[in-house]
Order: sequence, then C-alpha cells, then structure tokens
Amino acid sequence: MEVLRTKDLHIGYKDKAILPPINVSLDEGNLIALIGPNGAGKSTLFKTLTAHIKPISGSIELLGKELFEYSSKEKAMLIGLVLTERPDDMFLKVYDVVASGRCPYTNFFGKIEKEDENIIQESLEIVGINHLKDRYFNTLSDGEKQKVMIAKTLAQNTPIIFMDEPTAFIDYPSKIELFSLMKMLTKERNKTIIFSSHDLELLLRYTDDIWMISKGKELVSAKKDDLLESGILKEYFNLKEDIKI
Amino acid sequence: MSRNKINISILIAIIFLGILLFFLNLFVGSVTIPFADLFNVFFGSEGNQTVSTIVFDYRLPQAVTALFAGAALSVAGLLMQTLFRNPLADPSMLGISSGAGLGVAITILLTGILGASALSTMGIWSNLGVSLAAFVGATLVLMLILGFSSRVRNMTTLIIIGLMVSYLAGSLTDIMKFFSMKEDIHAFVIWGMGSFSAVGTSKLMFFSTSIVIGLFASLLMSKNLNVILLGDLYAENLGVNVKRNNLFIILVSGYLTAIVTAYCGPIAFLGLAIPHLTRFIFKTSDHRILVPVVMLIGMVVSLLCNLVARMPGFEGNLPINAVTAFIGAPIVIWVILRKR
Amino acid sequence: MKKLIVVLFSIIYMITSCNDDLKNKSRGEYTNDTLNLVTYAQNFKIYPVESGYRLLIIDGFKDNNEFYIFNDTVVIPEEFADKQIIKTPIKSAVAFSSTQWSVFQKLGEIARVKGVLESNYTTNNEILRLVAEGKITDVGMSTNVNAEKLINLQPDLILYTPYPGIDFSHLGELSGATMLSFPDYLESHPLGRAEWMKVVGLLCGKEDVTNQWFEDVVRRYESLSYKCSTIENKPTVFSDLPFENQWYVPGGNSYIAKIFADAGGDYIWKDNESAGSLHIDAESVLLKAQQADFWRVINSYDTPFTYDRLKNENELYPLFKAFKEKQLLVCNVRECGYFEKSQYEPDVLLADFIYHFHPEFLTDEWENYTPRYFKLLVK
Repeated sequence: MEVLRTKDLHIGYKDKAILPPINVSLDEGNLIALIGPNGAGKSTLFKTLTAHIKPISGSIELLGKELFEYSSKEKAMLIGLVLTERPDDMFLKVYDVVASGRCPYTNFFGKIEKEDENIIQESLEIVGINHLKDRYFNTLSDGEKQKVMIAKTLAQNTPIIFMDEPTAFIDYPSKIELFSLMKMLTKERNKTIIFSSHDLELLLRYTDDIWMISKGKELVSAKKDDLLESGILKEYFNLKEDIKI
Repeated sequence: MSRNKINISILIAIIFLGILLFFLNLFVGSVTIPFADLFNVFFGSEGNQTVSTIVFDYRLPQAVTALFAGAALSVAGLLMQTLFRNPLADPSMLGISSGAGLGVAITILLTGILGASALSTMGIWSNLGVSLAAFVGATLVLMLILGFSSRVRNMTTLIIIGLMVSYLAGSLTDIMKFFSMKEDIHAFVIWGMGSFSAVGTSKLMFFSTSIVIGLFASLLMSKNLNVILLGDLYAENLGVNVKRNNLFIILVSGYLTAIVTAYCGPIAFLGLAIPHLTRFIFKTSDHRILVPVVMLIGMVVSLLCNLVARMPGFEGNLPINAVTAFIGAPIVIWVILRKR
Repeated sequence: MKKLIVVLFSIIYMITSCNDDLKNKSRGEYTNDTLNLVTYAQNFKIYPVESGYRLLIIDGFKDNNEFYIFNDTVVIPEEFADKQIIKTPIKSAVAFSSTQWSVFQKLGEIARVKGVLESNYTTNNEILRLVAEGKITDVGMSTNVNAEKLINLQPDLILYTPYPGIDFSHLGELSGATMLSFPDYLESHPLGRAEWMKVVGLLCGKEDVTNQWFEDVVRRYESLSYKCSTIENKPTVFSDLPFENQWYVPGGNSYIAKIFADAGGDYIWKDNESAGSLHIDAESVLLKAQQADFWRVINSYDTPFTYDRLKNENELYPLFKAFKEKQLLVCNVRECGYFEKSQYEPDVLLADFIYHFHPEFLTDEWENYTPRYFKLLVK
C-alpha cells in the first residue's frame, strides 16, 4: 500500500526553493535512507514532510489524503518523529518520555488508561529497554536515549516514522543494533521509516530504498541493489571512488 | 518504600507544616498576645476586641494574601522554567515586574513632579493608583512580550528581549526617580519592599478570586507542559499547537505575576526557588504532580517568609522582598549541592 | 529623552490643570473664605460652627477630609450627627511626624500622644525617655508602619503625613481611629507651615494658646521681613551638601527659599519655580554657586563638624568661595531639634539668617540676638 506521494513538491523557506521539484512515492513496510551532504536540504525536506514547515508549492499525500487536510491530532497519529535534539530535564523519567507518545490519544488531562499502559509496555519491550523504564532519561547513554525516543514513537503508534540522523554520536555496536531494530520494525511491524544518515556503508546493508539529494540536484530515489551495480552514487556525489560493500 | 509512598508521606508532612505555619501567622506578630487571650478570641464567647482585630482583621487577611501570592508566584515560575526549559527562568525575566514598577513610578512620581495641585485633582484615584498602575504597567509589558513571542520562535531570543524590556523599564523608572522629589519616592520605596499586608480585608476577595482563576488555568495546562518538556518539535509532532500553547503559558504566568506584583510589590525569588525545591523533593517532571505541589509548597514557604518578616523584636516589619531572598537563596544552593 | 519627558509632563499637566478648574467650580462653597480662621496655610481651613469648628484638610489625596470638632463637654448639635466628629481634647493619638508631636510637647500635652514613628531619629530627650519607659510606643517607620502595634494602642486619632500613592486608610479601619491628614510639608510659606500648630491646638482644646502663639510669630516675622524688604545689597546664598556628588537643593518657591528672600538674601535658585527639591549635579552647582557668599548646611553628625573634615570628604568643597572664606551656616539637627521645632519658629529662623546677612537689622526685641539654628562654622 502506498503511504506517501509527493507531486512537484518545492521545499524551502520564504518562497526560495532549495531543490528542484520532488516527485517520490513510498510503499508501507519500507526502510528508506535519505543521504546527501550537510546543507543539501535533508532537514528541510524532513520538516516539510512532517508538516512542521509548509511547502512552497506542490502536494504531499499521506495515505491518499493531502497532508494539510489532516488535523494536528490526526497528523500526530500518522507521523512519528525521532530527532537529534533530546529532552534535557533532570527529573524526566524514561517511562514518562515513552508515555508522552500517547499524547494524541489521551484525554485533556493526559490520563494514562489501561490500554495506553499496555501499548507503552509493549513499546518498551520491542525496543528492549524495559529495564530502563524507571531510570531518569538524563542518566542514559546516547544509544539508550535514542532507543527511548524510538519507543516513544512506537507508543505514538504511527504508520510512518521519520528519524533525523538516528545513528549520529553513537558507538559502532549500538549503530548496528539500531539499524537492525529499524529493519525489524519495517518488516515485522509494517512501519515505514525514513531516516537520514551519514553512515553510508552500514546503511546500505539494511535499507530498501535510498533517496539521494545534493545541492541543486533533483532527488533521486533508487533501489539499494541498483545503486550498488550502477555506480550512480559515484556519479551523483562526484566521488573519486565508488562504494563497495 | 517506593517513590510514590515517599512522596505521599512528604506531601502529608508539608500540608501539616502549612497548617501549622498558617496558625503561627495568626498567633505570632510584633504585638505579643498572651495565649489565654488568643484562646478566648478563638473559642471564648467574649474575646478582647483589640486582640480580635489584630488576629482576624490584620493577621488573617495577611496570611491569606501570603498563601495566594506564594502559590501564584511559584506556579508562574514553574511555567516559565518549563516554557524556557531553563531552571533560572522566572517571571521577572520577562520584564513583568519591572513593567509594574514603571507603572507605579509613572503614577507616583509624575504626579509628584507636577506638584500637589495635580495630585489633588486625582482625588481618591491617587490612593487606588499604585495597584492599578502596577497592573497596567505589568500588563503592557506582558502584551509587548506576547507580541514578540508570536514573532520569534526561539525562546532564548525571547528571554533576551524580556531582559532588555526589563532593563528599559528599569531605566525609565530611574529617570523618573531622578526627576522627583524625595517625598514622592517614598511610596515607590514602600511598594518596592513588598508586603502581604497591603491587600487587606476589603480587596482580599478580588485578589484571591483573580489568583484562583490563574491557578486553575495552570492546572489545566499540565498535559501540554509535560509534552513541551521534550522540545518544541516533538511537542508539535505530538499534536500540540506549540505557538498557541507558549502564548497561553506566558499569558497565565504573566497574569499571575502582574496581580501579585500589583498588590504586594515585586516579590523576588519565590518564583525561582519553589519550583526548584519541589522538583528536587519529589524528583519528578510530571506537571500533573508538579503544578499542584508547587502551589502548595509556594503557599507554605510564603507563609514562612511572612512569619519571619513579622517576628517580634523587629521594629516594624521586615520587607518581604528581603526575607524571600534570604530564605530562598540558601534553599536553592542547598538543593543543588545535595543533588551532586 | 529629557525633551520627551518635558512634553509628556506638560500634556499631563494641561489635562490635570483643566480638571482643577472644574473641581474648583463644583466646590464653590470652599472659595467663600471670609469665615476661614486660617490666614497663611493653604492646606487646611477652620470654620466656626455652632459650638464647635469645622476643620477641612486639603491634601489632595483623600476626598473626605472634613472634620467637626467639638469640646467634650458640648452637646453636639443634631445637624452634625452624621459628620466625622472629633471630640476634644482628644484622649490618645498616634503622631507620625515630629512636627506633630512637638506641638503637643510645647503645649504640655505630650501625655496624649501614645505612639510615634521613627523615634530613633529624634534627639528629643523627653520623647526618648517616654519611649524607653513604654509610655510612648514606637510604631515603626513611615515607609513601614507596624500596624499591629498601632492597633494595639487603640488610639482615638492618627495624625499622619500623606504622601502621594500611599494609602493609610486601612490603619484607621483596623484601629477604629479617626485618620487626620497633616500635610504641613506641602506649605511653601514659612508662616503657613507654622500655622499648622493651630490644628494640634484645636485637638488639645487649646486653640486659644496656639492662636496667640501664632499671632506673635506672625507679628515678629512680618516686622523682620518688612525691615529687610528694602535691602538692595543682597548676599548670595546656596544650600545643602551633596550625596555622591548629586545635590538635592530647595526649589525657588520652597519654604527655605522664601526665608532666604525675606532675610534679604539672594538664593541662587530663586528663579526656579519648584516648591519641592531640585536634583542637580555637581557641575551645575559649581557653575552657579561657586561665587556664592553663604552656604547653608544641615547635618546630623555626632562628631565635630569642621572645614578640614569637609575638605577630606569632598575635594570639590574648597572650590566654593563660601568655603574658602569660611561662610558656612551650619545647623546640626541633633543639637537644635531643627526638624521638629523650627517650622513653628519661622521668625527665629528668619532672624538666624538676618543675623548672618544683615546683622544691623536685628534691633529692638532682637537686640543681642544669637542664632538658634544656623551658626557660622568658624573652624
């Protein structure tokens, strides 16, 4: 099933498009990596697709409906988000962070019902951080924090998840752990995950599709296997050597 | 014992302490009242008229004012600290207190400069003037900050703007003072020291009702306050209208500060210290717990400050502003050191 | 900035002064003053009514400042039953200002005063003794009145000094006392300030005594100032020590400026129109006052006050001619009770300055006069 489609999408700030029109579509259960040099517009694209900034022109369809036609609560139930920024509060507990993912579903006072509790518990277990739930968020390692934010997004129960550089600042074993977690979520839980990353060699092992952007160039969406064959990576980013895995 | 059980026992202890302090506020003051007289006033059929006046018409409204002012300032501080995700934030950072001060300076000092003839035309208004002027000044600054906050996204920028507005209002106040006669600075000095006694029985109803409205509004915000702790983008992603939410936080916090400042003067430190203290005692960031408990602890500490300010042995009452800082600053330092 | 403020002030002044006119019209009754027993003071009026007096205080802060004053022995006429009534002599009063209790003291009625403010600032031995003995209670400072102690005194009357923006009415409500505003400091005529003794006289049932005192003061003051009115060679004079090089000096329409003028002196800020104080920096003072002949100084030092000491305090002082020529006219408030007494003796104050400016005019009853408040600092 198609979850996302853009038509002639111009992104940028204040009427100044930073990339040529974007036309992509995406089916559910896919793990997509967005790659490109810093400053190419990765986070602008993310912010546009997650409805934090408005597109200059063109359309974004989410599950067959225009993104802007959804209410903010509906959007909160469709799109999950994991950012590089992390909450910084001394007494914020892991459980509370994950529980905040239930925000779109709970009542005015944010009361956690039995059902919410089950979903939070399940999210903690999927990510494998059940043992951390009573810890303060601030005391965790970067890798653990990242997992907590992913668990929050799972509790949010959205079909689509965007992750901005989820593997940055994390040690190598944790990176592998995270990639396999993401892979598992798309294959076993049928989530669609779009993430940006610079860990090219690693991500090529796990992703399905790759979106490439570079300054002023059209966004290219390619299957991982095609990419490795054709040398398109070398050409697109003007690399001296091709990447081999 | 689990954290929850510890918290509940602490809470009960605080409530008892609050009740104790409330009665001590009625029993203790610069006039020493023998216990027998106190007993008679409370339980006897025929109490001493003077004692009854001191206890019920003077000390009681003051204690109630301290109660509400403490709750209001502390919650206003909590809202600011959560909004700016900065443990040093408090309502005075947005220039609201300075705005109130400027309002007072303008009415008192301007009329002073124009001489008694100008003042005489103000009649009764000049007495009502101080609270009203403070409220108008605070509200104007609040409007200004709200205007800015809808233009700037970055909360740090807003803090800087708030500080600048604060300096600006302060400097205008100093200029007004410079051009005034000594006699006219009098009222400004009194207002600046802060006091819980200025509300009095007649205005107490209005004062407490206004504050209860603000406190109630802040209780309704707990869920969104929890979410914005994660950061603006996360909050927005979770369906919170961050811009509107921030505006509402500033409005409620500013409103509470404006009312207290108008009636009690610029009372420092409660807004900064109490949220800190509460978080460290209860070790939580959950605003469904924090908001009501901050109110409670704000009330208790405020009652303590009022008690200290009126301890027998001092000539006159100590300025409440000095007492809050004297008690508040060590609390913050102690709490921070204990954490490490 | 300054321009802006001036414009702002003038606009507000225009608005408020329009109001003033309106108000005066609506209060036509007060302008008919032929019965008013007060001659110099602007801020209170006394009218005789059947078997008593009507006292009107005009302080600009409060609307209901009308009091009907009857002697305790008198049956109060029915028509006044709903008015604010003070029965005299009053039994117990709290006096906020030393200019209030000093009249009680002078009348020998200090026992009627149960509470005062700021007793630690006075050097009046009797008051200090009464406070120490507990016969008078110190109820705090004017910026910080201790309401509890005041209520506990259960006074009949509270004499307070009104200031803009300060509301004392709750003290009256709490203690049940009548609140009597005493804005003597607003009077800019020396005799107007002195005339406030009549209010205290009235409260003690000794209005005849204070009337007589005041008449004597007026006679002596007027005759002295009349003598000096023809003087052409007027010495220049300026006033006060600075605080951190900022001078607060009396305005040109102030009480002390009037005394300077009446003593045949030339006050260097006489053209200023303020009745209050002016805030002036050291440069401007130097510019105007460097060549002045006399320098009036009030101090409260309890250690010797000398030219050497002043020189050490501020290196600007020796630049003034009055300093070089040792023409400082100094009053130590600790020694002479200046703040509590001098306002009721404007004739003496006047004589003090005439003594320094034009001693030849102190004749007749002022023969062999020695200054009481302001003395020439010799060393």
